[in-house]
Amino acid sequence: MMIPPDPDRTIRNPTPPTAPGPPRWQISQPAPRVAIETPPRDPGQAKDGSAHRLTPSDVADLGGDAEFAEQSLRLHETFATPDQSRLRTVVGVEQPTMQSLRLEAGVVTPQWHLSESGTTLNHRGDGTVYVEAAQGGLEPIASLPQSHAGIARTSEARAVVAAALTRQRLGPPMGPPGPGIELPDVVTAGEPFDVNIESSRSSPPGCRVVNLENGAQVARPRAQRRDGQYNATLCLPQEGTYRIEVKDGGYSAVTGIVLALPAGEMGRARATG
Amino acid sequence: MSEPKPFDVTAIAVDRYEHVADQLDGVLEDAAEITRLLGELGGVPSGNPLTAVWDEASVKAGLRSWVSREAASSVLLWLGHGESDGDEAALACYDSPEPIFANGLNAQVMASQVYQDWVTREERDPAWALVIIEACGSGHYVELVHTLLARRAPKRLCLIGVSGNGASYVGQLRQAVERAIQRLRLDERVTVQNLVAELSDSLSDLVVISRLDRRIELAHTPPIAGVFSAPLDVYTELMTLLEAVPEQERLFLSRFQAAEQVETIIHFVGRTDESTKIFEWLRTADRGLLVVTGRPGSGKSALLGNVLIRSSPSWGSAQTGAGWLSPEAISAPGDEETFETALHLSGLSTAAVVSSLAKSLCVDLPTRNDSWSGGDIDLLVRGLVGRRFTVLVDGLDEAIDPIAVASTVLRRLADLPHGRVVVGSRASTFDQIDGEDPSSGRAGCGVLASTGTCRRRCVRTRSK
Repeated sequence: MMIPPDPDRTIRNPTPPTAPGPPRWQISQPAPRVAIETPPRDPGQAKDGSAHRLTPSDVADLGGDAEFAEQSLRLHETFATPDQSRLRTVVGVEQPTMQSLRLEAGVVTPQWHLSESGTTLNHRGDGTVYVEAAQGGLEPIASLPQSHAGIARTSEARAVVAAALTRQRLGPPMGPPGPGIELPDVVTAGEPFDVNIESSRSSPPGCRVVNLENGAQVARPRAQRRDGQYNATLCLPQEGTYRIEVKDGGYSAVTGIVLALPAGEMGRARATG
Repeated sequence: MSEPKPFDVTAIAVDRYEHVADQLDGVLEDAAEITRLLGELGGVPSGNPLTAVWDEASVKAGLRSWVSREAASSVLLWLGHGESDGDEAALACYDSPEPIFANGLNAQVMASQVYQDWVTREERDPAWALVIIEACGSGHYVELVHTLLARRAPKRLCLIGVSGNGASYVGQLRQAVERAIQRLRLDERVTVQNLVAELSDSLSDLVVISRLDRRIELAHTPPIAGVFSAPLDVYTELMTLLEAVPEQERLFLSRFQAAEQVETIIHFVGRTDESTKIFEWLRTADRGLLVVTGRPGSGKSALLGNVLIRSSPSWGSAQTGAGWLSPEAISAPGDEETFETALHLSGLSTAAVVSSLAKSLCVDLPTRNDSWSGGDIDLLVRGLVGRRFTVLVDGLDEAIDPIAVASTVLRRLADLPHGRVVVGSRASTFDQIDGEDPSSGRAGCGVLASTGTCRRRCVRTRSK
């Protein structure tokens, strides 16, 4: 997920980024139907029984602006009732995607699943919007293994949009689904970091790092299998914005944008978080 | 430019795989349909069975067979799985193990066969080859093939990858070829470059590497003789119309040439009184001459063209289906065509008029070198005695010798027991747009007077 920090509209996870455990994310505008999962007050209470939709008061409890939250939720209610006769959706899939969040002692922890009716479901998505939310209640015209930022620029998306506009029916894709990737939004220039790649293929996917300022390829890291999944260690040489491309299977490379900051600025970013 | 010759179409469509999970239903049908469509441009299917199991050995044998084909020029089609990791790219054969980009048919194998093909083509100018690959990562694949071929520089070659570096979809190429052929169908001439350009218009991520160093014309017989001037939207409508009409009847559209503007024929408005009179005459007259006359620019040709298509059962039903005409507007009696032929006389000599009418009415005349012989019109008339026929001729005043045509040809045809002739003409060859009223002065000694005193009816298109 690649969301630029927006101090006015973000809820920051107070946990230091260096802490072990699952990746920590800055959460920007809530995705549609973001659910909130509170820890059980009673040990006998089912954990998923306490999940509910995010409310303005939840946001206010976290120090956010309840009015903004209400406006945002109203906007998402509008999005949730589209004119189905005029809407066609192209949905990003296969990417690890936050689908709910857990509040515990004032700490927000992203959850990579939804808890509904006592069941935990991981819909995955495009890294920003999970599949169920992106579909808008419709059968999508295409499900592409791609990130939120990359989906609109893929050849596959152009092909399905062209087909929809010209009322042609495309057949099935001629390639296996691509990988899912997990990478941080912001890293320290010159320091190594990992990109996790989920792929069921027996061969490692190809990786490429491109400097967005000049389009130059700056690295071709080799992905290696560790603990059942592929992992590539990258080191961005200097501050700037980079596109990480991971190619596996028939689809376009799955892409993500990473901002590399000088070591000092990274520390300040953590402090303000 | 030499006469275009038929070209070979070799299709390798891999729909079944031993190691790849996703079988590709539909690619065999796509390959068959693309081959059929290319037939309209002179393509002839190779002997390769479409349903073969394309393991790597069979694929290589198929490529060798493609190189050693009889036809000089060829389209090589590949439809199936493919894969690229950003560096390497390969096409999947039935037995290619995963990963495909490392174990499939690599670019080197394809480049070698394409080069061998060039070796056999080089001396057979203007033999050409078009290699079209529909597979995931096919754009990158053809780039690799091109890189490998660069030093050897084969010519009259075009490499096409349908889907850039991403995924392709079953049916994508077939739909693009359908659209391309549909658009090219009415063109008088079609080149390989036209075909490639049409595919590029339809497929946004098409990678085209062309080493076609000249225009290479394809054998193409347009369904309509001649060239039409029409706006693009009308052109598209015509193609729609053509598709709805049986193939053997498409030549009927050539009769549109009896009028000058296709658009005004299709989207014709007004002249209700005049067309009513014409159809009334067509319904009741057993023989004779019907003259449609009027000032220059008053719409004679458009009116006659509209009468022509409204009087044809096949074109009428096609137009009704397309929503351009109401069923009531179709005036064709029964299932038979009203007009046996239609001819625009502009620039034609009397000999050419006789010859054209004889040819279209299936009357044999001795071969002459455009020289006039009074005997020809006698032969034409004798050949039509006892036949029931209706002929439409327009632009009489634009013939080289309109008076001779009117008096010695049209008049005699209209005098036959079952001969009917509908003529469009200015009253006088001296008539000009915004000129003097033809009802006065020298119009009286003009064209219409020369049709004589046979059973003649006149419909005048008055200027609005």
